[in-house]
Amino acid sequence: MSDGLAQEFAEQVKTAVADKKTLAIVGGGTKAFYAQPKADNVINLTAYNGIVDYDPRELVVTVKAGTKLGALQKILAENGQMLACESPAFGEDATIGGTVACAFSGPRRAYTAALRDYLLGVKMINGQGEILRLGGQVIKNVAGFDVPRLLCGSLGSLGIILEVSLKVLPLPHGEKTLVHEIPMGYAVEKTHQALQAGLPVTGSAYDKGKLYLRISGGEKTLASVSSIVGGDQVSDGASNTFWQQLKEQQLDFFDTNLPLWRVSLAANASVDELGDQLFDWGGMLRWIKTDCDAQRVFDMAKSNGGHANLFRNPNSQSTVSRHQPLSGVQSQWHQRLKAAFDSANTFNPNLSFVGV
Amino acid sequence: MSYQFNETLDNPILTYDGDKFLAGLAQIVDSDVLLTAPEQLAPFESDGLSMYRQQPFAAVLPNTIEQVQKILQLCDAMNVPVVTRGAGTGLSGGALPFAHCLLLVMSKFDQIINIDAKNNCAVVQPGVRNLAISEAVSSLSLYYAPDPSSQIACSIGGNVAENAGGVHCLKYGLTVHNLMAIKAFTISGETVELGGSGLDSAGLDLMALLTGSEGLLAVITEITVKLLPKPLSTKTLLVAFDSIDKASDGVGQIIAAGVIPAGLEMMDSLAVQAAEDFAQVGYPRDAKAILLVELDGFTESVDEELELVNQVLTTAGATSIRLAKDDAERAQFWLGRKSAFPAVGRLAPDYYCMDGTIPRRELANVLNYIHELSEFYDLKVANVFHAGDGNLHPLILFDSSKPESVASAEQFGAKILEKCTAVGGTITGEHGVGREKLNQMAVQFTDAEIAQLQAVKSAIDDKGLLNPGKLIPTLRRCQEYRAINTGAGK
Repeated sequence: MSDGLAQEFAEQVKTAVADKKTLAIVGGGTKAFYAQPKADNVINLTAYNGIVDYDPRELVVTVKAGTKLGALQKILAENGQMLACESPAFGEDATIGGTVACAFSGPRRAYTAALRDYLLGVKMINGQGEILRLGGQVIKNVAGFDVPRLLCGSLGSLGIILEVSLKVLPLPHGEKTLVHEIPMGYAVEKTHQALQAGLPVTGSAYDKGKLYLRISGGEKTLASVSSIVGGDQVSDGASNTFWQQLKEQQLDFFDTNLPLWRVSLAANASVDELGDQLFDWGGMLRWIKTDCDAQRVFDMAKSNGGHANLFRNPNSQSTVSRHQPLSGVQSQWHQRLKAAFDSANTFNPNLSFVGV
Repeated sequence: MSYQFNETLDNPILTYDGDKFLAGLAQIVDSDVLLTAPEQLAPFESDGLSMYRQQPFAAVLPNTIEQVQKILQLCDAMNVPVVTRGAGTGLSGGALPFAHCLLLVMSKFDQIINIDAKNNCAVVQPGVRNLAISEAVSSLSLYYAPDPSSQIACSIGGNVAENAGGVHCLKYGLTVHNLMAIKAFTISGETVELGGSGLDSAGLDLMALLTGSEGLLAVITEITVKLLPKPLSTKTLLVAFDSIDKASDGVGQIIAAGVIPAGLEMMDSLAVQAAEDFAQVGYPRDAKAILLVELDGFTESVDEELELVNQVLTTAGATSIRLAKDDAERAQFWLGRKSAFPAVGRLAPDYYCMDGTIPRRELANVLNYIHELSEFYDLKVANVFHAGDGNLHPLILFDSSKPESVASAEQFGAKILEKCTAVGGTITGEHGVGREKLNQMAVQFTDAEIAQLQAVKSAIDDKGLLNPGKLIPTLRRCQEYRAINTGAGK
C-alpha cells in the first residue's frame, strides 16, 4: 500500500516535469518559519509513515519520511534507545523527513553525534521520478558517494526523501545538570576544561548569566562527576525541562520580535556585541537576537571560520538572504549538484542554496 | 585479468600528446620527482591490493601545493587522467594506476601545519600519517580517533578519500565524523574550501560528499581533523566462546544492555590459532570464537559498564572472561588482533581481504555460507570481524602463483560480497570500492542508482579525468556483469 504511495509520488514527479510544473515537498509544516517551499503543486509526505525495520540490537532504525519525530522517539525510548542528535521538533507534527531535510540537531550534537553523522541511508525520488536507494542500513558503508549526507540539510532541493535509515544509541543510564553562575567567556572555558578532563559532558548551554552543564552516566559516575564539576544541581524534572525548552526554543530568550540568527563557529570565537546571545554546544552554536544588517552577521561568522543563517525572521516580507553566501567554487558545485539530481528545477525551487 | 582498464567496459580514455605532456610537467617540477622509467615506476604500480598491478604513464611527487595546482591545470588542459595516491596502503585498488594516467603522489606533504588545543583540532597536510597525528598531540592528552589497521603507514589524505574506519569506530565514528574542514583542488586547479571552525557549514554537506569519494571529485590538499581528549580509563576483556553463535549473541546482548564499547572485535578459531601461533598473546586455542571488548571513558563509567558487560557475557555463555590486568596485557590482547592479517597470511602464499558489512543478526547465516564456499572453492578462510558494527573481514587464503587459485579467490570474494548485499548489507564497510569491487556495485545498485552517482561525478568532474574507472562503474559494465551472473542483480 505505502509502496504504492511511493510510486504515486514518483508518477507525480514525472507528470510535473512533463508539465513544467514545480513541486513543494512538505511534511508536518512545523519548520515553515525556516524553510517554506513555494511551488505550483504540493507533495505531502505525512501519509507515507511508519517504521520499516527496527531491531534494537542492530542500533539501526529504518523509517518512512512522514513518520512523526515524536512517534519515532517514543518507539526508540520504549526500547531504551534514542536519536543521539536530540533533534528539535518545533511542533508535534514534525516528521523525520523534514528533520533530515533541515539537518536539525539539538544540544547533544556537540558531544555525541549530529543528525548527519548517524544518517546511514535513504530511499529517495530524484528529479526524473526515479526511486533510488543510496547509502545503506548498516553502520559502516562506503559503497558509492555519500548521497544520504548530501540530502541531510538540502531543504528538499535535491529530491524527495522517502525513507531514512539512522543509527541510534542507548539512552543514558542517568543524567544530571549542574549550573554555574559565571560570565559567558568563562563558561566556554569551563566547558572546555570539563571535556579535556575526560568528563562525560553531553550538554553545555549558557543563558541569562548561567552555564548549564549536562553530564551522563550511571549513579556512581554522576556522583563522582558532580563533585568534580561543582555548581548547583537542579532536579531531574527541571533538568529535562531546561534541555527540552532549549532545543524547542521555548526559553524566554526566544520570545522576541527581533530576527533570530543561528551562528555556528569555534567555541572561543570573539563574537561582536551584535545583540543578546544564548549559546549551546559549549559555545559552538550561538543564538543571537539582532536587527542589525545581515551582512554584518555574515561577516562576523566568516571572520570566525563559521557561518550564520537567519533562523527566524519576524519580518516575513523581508528579502534578506537567509544563508551565509557561498564561495565561487562552492556555489558552482551547488548549482551543478542541483542539476545532477533535479535538472528541471522541480523540487522546492525557492529553497535551493543556489542564488539565495 | 579483469581489473585492467577496459575502454569498452570503462569509459574511453581521451588521447593526449605524451611528449608534450612530459615537457609541460618538466616545467612545473624538477626532474628528480618526475618518474617515467619502468624501474622508477615499479614501487607505484600497485597499492595495498598488490595482486592488481599496472604502471602509470608517469608518476610525479610534487613538493609544493602550487605545483599540484599547476599539474592539475596541465592535466585538465591536455585531458590527462589523474590517479591520486597517498601512502598506497588502500585495499581496494583505489590508487591503482592505469597505463595512460598520471599518478599524482602526495606523500611529500607530510607536515602538521597547526595544532589548536583550545579548539581540539589540527590542520595537517594530506601526506601526514594517521598515527603521526595522535603522536604529535599526545602530550596535550589528545588523539585522533579513527584508527585503521594500517595507521602506522597510511596517510590522512587517503583516509579522507576512503572514509577510513578502524577498530574504534563503533563509538568514535569513521573519518567523516572526525573532520572539521577540507581544502582541495578541482581538476581545473581551483581551490575549494569546505567546513570550517564550527560543527556544520553553509549549504549542502559537500565535506561529506568529498569524504569517501576515492579521488573522483577533487585532490585534497589540507585537512583539519577533530581531536578527542584521551579517555581517563580503558579496560579490555578477552572473552572466549565455544560457538560463533554464542559469541554473536553476546555482542547483541552487550548493545541491548545499553553499552557501546570503544572496540568490539570477533575472531574465529582459524584466526585465533593463527594469531596465537604468530604472536603468542595468550588467546585460548580451543575457542571457537573470541571477543575483544574495550571500554573507555570516565573512570566510574568504565567500571559501571564493565560490571554490566561481565554479567551479560556470562549469561551469553562465555567459557572464559579475562580482564587485562594492566596496559601491557591490554597491548598484548590487541597485538593478537592487529597481527591477525599477517598471522593468517603465513598459512598460505597469499590472502585476499574482504570487507562486506551485514546486519549482525545475519552473522551466523553469512558465516555458514562462507564456510560452504570455502569447501566449494577449496580455499581456506579466516574471519576477523568488527563485530560491533557488522563489518566482516574474511581472509581468503590462496596462491597467486597459480592463476586458477587467483580466479577462485576472486570469485569466492565476489560471492561473499553479493551475499552481504542480499542480506541487507553492503559490499564495502571501510576499504572502498576502488577498482576491486566495481562489478559488485552492479549487484548492490540499480542502473538508475548508478546513473545518479555518475551524475554526481559529472557535476564536479565533467570530463571524468579524476581517477577514472573506480568507485562508480559504467552502466555498460553493470549490464555485462549482471548478464554473466544472471540472477545476481536486484
